[in-house]
Amino acid sequence: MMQELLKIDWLVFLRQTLPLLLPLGGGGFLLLVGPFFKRSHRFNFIFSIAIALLALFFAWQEWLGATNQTVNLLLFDRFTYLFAILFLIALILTLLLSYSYLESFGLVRPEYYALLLFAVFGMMCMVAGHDLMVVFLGLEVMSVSVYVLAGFQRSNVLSVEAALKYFLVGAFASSFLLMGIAFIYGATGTTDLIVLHQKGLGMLAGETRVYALVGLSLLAVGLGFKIALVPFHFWAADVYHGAPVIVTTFMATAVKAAGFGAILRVVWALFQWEPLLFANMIWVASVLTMTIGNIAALTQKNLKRMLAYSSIAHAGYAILPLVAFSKQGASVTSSISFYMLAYILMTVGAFAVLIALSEKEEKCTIQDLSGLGTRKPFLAFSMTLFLLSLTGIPPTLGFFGKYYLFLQAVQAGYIWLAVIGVINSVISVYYYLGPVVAMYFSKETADQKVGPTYWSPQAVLVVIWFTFLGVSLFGLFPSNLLDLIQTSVSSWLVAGK
Amino acid sequence: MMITLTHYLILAAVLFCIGVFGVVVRRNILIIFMSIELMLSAVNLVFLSFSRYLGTQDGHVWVFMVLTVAAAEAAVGLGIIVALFRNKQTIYVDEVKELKG
Amino acid sequence: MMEPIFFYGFGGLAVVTALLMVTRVNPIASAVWLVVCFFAFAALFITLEAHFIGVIQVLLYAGAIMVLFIFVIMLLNIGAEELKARTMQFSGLLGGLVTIYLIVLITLGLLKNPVRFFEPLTEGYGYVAPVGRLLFTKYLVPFELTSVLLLVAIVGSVVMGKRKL
Repeated sequence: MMQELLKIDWLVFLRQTLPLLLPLGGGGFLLLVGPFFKRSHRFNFIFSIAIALLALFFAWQEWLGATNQTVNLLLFDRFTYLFAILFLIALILTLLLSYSYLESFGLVRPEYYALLLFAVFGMMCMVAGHDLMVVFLGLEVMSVSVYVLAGFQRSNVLSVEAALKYFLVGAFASSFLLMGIAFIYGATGTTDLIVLHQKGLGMLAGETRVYALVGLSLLAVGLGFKIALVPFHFWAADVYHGAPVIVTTFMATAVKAAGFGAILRVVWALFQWEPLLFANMIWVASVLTMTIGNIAALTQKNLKRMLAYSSIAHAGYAILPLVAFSKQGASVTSSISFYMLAYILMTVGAFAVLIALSEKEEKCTIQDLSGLGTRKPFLAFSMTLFLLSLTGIPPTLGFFGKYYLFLQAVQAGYIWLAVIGVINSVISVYYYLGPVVAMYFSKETADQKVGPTYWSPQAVLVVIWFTFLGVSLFGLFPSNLLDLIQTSVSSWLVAGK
Repeated sequence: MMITLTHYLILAAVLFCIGVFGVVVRRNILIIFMSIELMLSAVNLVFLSFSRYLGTQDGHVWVFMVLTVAAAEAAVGLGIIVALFRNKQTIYVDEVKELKG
Repeated sequence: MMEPIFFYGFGGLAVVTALLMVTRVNPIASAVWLVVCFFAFAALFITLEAHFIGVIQVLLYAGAIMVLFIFVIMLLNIGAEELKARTMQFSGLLGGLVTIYLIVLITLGLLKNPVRFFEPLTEGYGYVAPVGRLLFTKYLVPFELTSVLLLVAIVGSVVMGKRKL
């Protein structure tokens, strides 16, 4: 073991881990230096953006030259860097949304930026780790940061309540996850994902099967809590509703993508134990999650809650292709990764429009949107595009994302499952079009006519433009993006065999 | 009578389920939190018994990590509870229900 | 053979104190029972030849984490009249039944598996040195990650707990 450590080329290791280390170091630096710049919000903001952009650049460099090397429980392949890029994009968009929001809500503190950077570091570890220990600790770093971020508006009961609920559910889920890992360790003697994948079925010679099954189901419960699958979804709406809307944006996009990245790694290592049971678990969870998420979203008046339930439903769509994992692992993985990117862009966009409307207090009910079409045509138009994309109407990015997801199920012979997915998308039209109708066809209330001129800070507009272009352009020309993702995924899945 | 791996696993499962019971049934946040700590300790027991059974000490390293995670969660969780108490003056989850809809 | 005596003694103690912990009305009483429970855990760890972990369990859990709990309970200063035992009706009964069902299920599942005897100890098992060696070679990255986790926890608790930032 000692020799192995000495053999590592530390300079290469440093280069490979740079996209991970930059957010970590940046967060630490902000904590140390932030207090001296307490008055200067701008410094903290620009510094974090710079760190994120730098990390994005290096992640891209490393993506180009990735070699599938594993160094001390970290796996540096294109999949790792692909997800690192996703997290960094979500981070940059969240940072841009945060600046004016923090100012107008009186939350200016360097800790906010530091915690966001730490959370992204944890996410990258979740995807880069090829031992369950690294995945778990990355998950904890991310979760602990996000618990605090959810309660960042400490004087607001809603925010603190969201933090409390998120924390209790998260800690509860973590102990299930750990119990699952403990049993998997007992059944196989290892927690290394690559070893688990390579040995596969051979490890489960009859006797240890019970341990493995107990471990697998507990692990599924733990992960199900973390990405809010039905029946472990009850916390999501409250937490998304109570947290400051910038944090909700981050939770709905980056945190969810991190959960899926880790799940893909774990599934890759463990699915072959019980392919049939696994496929059954997946389709039941998927059907329940999308149906219940969509039905609950139908009655919501608050857009934050509506988007929370819709994010539950989207998690249901996103796990759907996993039923076909044993047949076509690479294309399933790339379809899910593609969907995560699409989901990040359109969800950030939708939340950005809400943030653009929220000065001094959050304006997130459907009523607040009424008449927006005449007052702020661009905001209304882009919101419409994001909602159509979330519904999955062509030619938006959301449509192609969903198409690739359902295509996997169809190719594996689960046509009925894809049909259920399509029916669910049709149900979702109803609640996604509610805000659109309000924006274009409902009269403004007297209050709004006199009321605030919408304030739309520059940085938020940049985010809206960026996501708007992303959703529409990639919706028209998705093939390059898909190629890129397929390359990242196939190198991992081939190399691991 | 020999004490076997199965004995330890059943004991750990019982303790874990008592923890789950506490989380599901109790309404006092502090006691819910303590029940989660109990669950984590039960996890440690499972790790150590498997470690003893397999004869590898990787399980011991896992226990270290679980302890650290428990400590970190305790610090943050108690901070959140204090912040909640300042806002609401309550430690009962069923009195904390501003978020509904 | 002392082994069964230790196992049943400390195992029984752990179960009884855990049950007492989840049923007390006063969180202070719960915390104290949990401390006793953690001592029983430590003894069980030692019967599994994990001496060092047993010591750490007492130091860290019973010593540090539980003291933090008791400190916070004292800080919140909840009067006796505010304490309510607000369970033990329908949800309590249901929860109890589900728990018993789960325990029976897992026990039966584990018993179906052939009973596993512990192998005789290999030389050096249970010492601190092999754990340390693993921590600083094979598990170096996770070890470093824990330091990040603790840093995040410190920042988080300051952000949540401090009166004025």
